[in-house]
Amino acid sequence: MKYLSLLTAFLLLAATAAAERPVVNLPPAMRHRNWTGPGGPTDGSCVFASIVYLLDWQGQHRLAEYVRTHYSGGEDYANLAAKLNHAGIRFAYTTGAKDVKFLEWAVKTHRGCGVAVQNRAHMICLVDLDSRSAILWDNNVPGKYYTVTRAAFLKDWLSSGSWAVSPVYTPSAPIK
Amino acid sequence: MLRILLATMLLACASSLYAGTQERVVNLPQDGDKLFVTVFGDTADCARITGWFNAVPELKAVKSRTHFNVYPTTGNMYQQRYAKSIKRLPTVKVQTADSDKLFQLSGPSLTTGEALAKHLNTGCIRRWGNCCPQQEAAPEPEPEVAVDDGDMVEPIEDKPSDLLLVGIVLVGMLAGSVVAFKDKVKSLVK
Repeated sequence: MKYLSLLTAFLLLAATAAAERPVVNLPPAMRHRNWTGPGGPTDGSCVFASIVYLLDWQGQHRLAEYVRTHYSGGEDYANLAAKLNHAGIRFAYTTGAKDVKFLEWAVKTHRGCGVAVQNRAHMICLVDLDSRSAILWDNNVPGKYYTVTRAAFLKDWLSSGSWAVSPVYTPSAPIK
Repeated sequence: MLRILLATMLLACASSLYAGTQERVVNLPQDGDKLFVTVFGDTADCARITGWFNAVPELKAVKSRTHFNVYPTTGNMYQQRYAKSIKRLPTVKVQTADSDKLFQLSGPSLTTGEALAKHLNTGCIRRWGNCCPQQEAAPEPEPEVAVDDGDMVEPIEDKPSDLLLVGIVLVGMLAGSVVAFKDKVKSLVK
């Protein structure tokens, strides 16, 4: 009986330990902190910092470098789309449609996405999402991830205009 | 009339130019279940092996149906993310999105593209047909799987499927509950 319980516990542990979390996990040394825009110290570049993280994760290092060195300051979805088009970056986005499926697609395909939060004052990266929690990367604290409940994250995102954007290239390979 | 024609032509030109610069993806690729094929090695090895994936028909087909990544040892991604898990270079690895390693071939075993295609065909594709470029083809003869340089090839053992795993867990839990219930009944009777 003891052995059976141990075996069951081991199997459950093995099954949960298999997959890497978060599914989008750029090495810390490659993550760029949010940078100041033309408007001074209070003018961040969180949208571009998020895009750079995702481009690097999807193997587009030259495009990431282009975005990092050419763009800064606050951004809305229309201007961002124009800039991504101009840079020749393949991307997908949703805004105002409360399209949670877009977020689930971004995580299921291991691409991740930038998400507007804090009443649209900030953009961060959604790097994992399941039925209970969301794992987020904030370009203001680039060294670590933080986890919130799925409900809390969705509430924040939906009240921020449900804007999400992701480059569409090949996601990085699993680590094992 | 001429003005209208000219205006129409201008409009058509402008809209086609605009469409040409649109990079937005509307139909999201549903490729979350695709396998990952990854090449690790120095710059020369990466170029050589990538060349096979562009030239050998079987490998071309594999490449087109999977997420194909190349990580040279000089790159940040290799150094920061993969170096610890790669024991021998160059390496070609096939994985599921959930990190399950299905196939790996390393070092001097990576001789030619044709040999790699053969190893892939026997070591990986027959078991996990979804990366197979020629699933309908006649099965490969058995002996090719056992490779002489076995220490170089790192075949992955057959793993229990998720369903089997769930089954084992459920049976374990059920058996545990039955035994516990019996014990309880026994103790009650006593």
